[in-house]
Amino acid sequence: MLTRDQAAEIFSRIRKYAAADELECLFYGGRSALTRFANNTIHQNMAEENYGVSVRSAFGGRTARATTNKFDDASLQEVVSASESLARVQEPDPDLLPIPSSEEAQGRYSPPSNGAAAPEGNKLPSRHFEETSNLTPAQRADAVGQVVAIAQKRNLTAAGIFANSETIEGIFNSRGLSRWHRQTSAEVSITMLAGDSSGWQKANSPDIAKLSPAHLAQIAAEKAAKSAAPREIAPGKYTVILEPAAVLDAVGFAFYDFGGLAILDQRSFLNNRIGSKLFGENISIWDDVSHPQQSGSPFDGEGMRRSRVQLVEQGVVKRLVYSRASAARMKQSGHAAKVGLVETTGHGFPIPNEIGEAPMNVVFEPPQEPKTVEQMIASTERGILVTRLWYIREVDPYEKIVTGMTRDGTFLIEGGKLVCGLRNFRFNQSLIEMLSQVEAMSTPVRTSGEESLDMVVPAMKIRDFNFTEVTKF
Amino acid sequence: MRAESWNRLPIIRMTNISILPGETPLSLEQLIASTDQAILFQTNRSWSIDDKRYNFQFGTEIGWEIKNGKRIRMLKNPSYSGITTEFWNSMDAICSRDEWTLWGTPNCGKGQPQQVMGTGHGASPARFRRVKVGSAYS
Repeated sequence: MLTRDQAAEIFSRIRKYAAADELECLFYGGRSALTRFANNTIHQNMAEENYGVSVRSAFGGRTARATTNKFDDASLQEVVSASESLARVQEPDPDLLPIPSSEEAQGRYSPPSNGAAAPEGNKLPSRHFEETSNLTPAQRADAVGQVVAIAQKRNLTAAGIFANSETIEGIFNSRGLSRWHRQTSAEVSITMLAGDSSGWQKANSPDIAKLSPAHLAQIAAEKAAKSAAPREIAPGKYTVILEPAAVLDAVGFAFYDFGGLAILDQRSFLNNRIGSKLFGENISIWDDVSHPQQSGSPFDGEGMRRSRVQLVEQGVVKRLVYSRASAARMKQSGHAAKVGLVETTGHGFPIPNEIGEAPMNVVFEPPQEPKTVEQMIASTERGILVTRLWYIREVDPYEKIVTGMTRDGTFLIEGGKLVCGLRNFRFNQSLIEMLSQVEAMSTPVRTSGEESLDMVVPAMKIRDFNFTEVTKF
Repeated sequence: MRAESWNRLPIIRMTNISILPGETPLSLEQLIASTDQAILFQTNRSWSIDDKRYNFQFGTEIGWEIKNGKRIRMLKNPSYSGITTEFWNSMDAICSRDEWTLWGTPNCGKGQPQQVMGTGHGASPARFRRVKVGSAYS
């Protein structure tokens, strides 16, 4: 693994070659490995190790980047030269700020959102686990063997991946800022296929000890078996119970609008809605990199400390997240008086970029009276249980209507019980209305999907969810 | 089979699928003029399809109502949807080469780890019968 000391030494060599007014270097990369299986057998194993440095040079308001994954002197000279020659020919950016000092980047510390005491030294708990980084192909194969055995026992066909990685992220700049983060990640995704049905589960954690491929396989297999011979019922508005993966992939489409630049660009559905009650009173949402179930680095693309930000409080949109530049622009704009507290929150993407910033560590606040999915089913006279959603796309950016399909385990609920599997539906649903019609929630859990970053989200029971069509399976 | 780069495994995907133009000369204006009642959809802005590629839905930026061979008014937030095989079997006219354009979203992501590739899809305007419209806002 590339270490912090090695990166610091590479940065010191880059500085020697640099002539720009300001210099910033982002280090990235790591080791990753993946075992893929289909048709009840492993058919691919891959492993990769790669590190790179992205060099940003600035001359006044002109800035640009160049990137290399070669750290010899000649390559570093070349990447510095490329970065500087690109920067010199850019149009000046009037919003470009000087790079932050180490002191500025420290920001304000925000305590964790789960009520726990602040970690000693205000540092994140480690997200690097030796057991995860040391996972071998043989251990992954053993786990896949357990998954396949579960599939074969029930006459199902299993497919999926089991992956692990160890990654670094670092930033050094010419004003003395130096930040470093390393973490591990393990991920399991399992699809169980039957003749006319399927089931699915996916999980991701920095700590392999928190994942159980066999347990996930049992759930996926149960879903495939129970949804066999699916019935077709008419589309319409139904009470639904969305499992956490389905909630995640739907609500994920909302959060890129919670950035200051999205408001300044007038591309956010929160334009003229901040401070108003947009969702149900049972919805409170934070961005909190320090949450024990979250992952990722505690600093942003300029090295600024990520603050904990309450985005939504009891249905009212309270605040946005900001990069340094977006906060400075917002304070000078006509929107400043109607967007809540404006300050740098440490959510900026590496400069230059077009998006500005976004919450990257979304956490839903636990409900006062959490219900399990089983309790939600038992309380439902007629409704539909949804395992996951698929191919979600935005239909209307201001009403935040998204469309997509159900997939891999959609069930009819009648009289408080699962009755049968259903053919999959297309939905066209406003996320604003969806989060205003939540009747019950589970305790939020770290959740993985296919469309959104991992978040800490609950399962939800929602009334009048809008299914518009049904497909052939 | 396509791979994003030398260090990625090829996966099954279709990055450059086009539909041939009609052989009989036919302009878009002639197609409109030969249509009694229809909606002309222009400029896709959202797309979604199920994992077996049956049910699809497209939202477009603008639509025009056609009546008696003429565009009579602009339509807001138009969408169309259907089942792939039924949709393509309902096509009864397609414009010729002069109307053919190489369209395509900038890129498409697939696979684990994800592989992103450029895409391009050529087509001429075409007419489809009995297509469901308006589901996106229903």
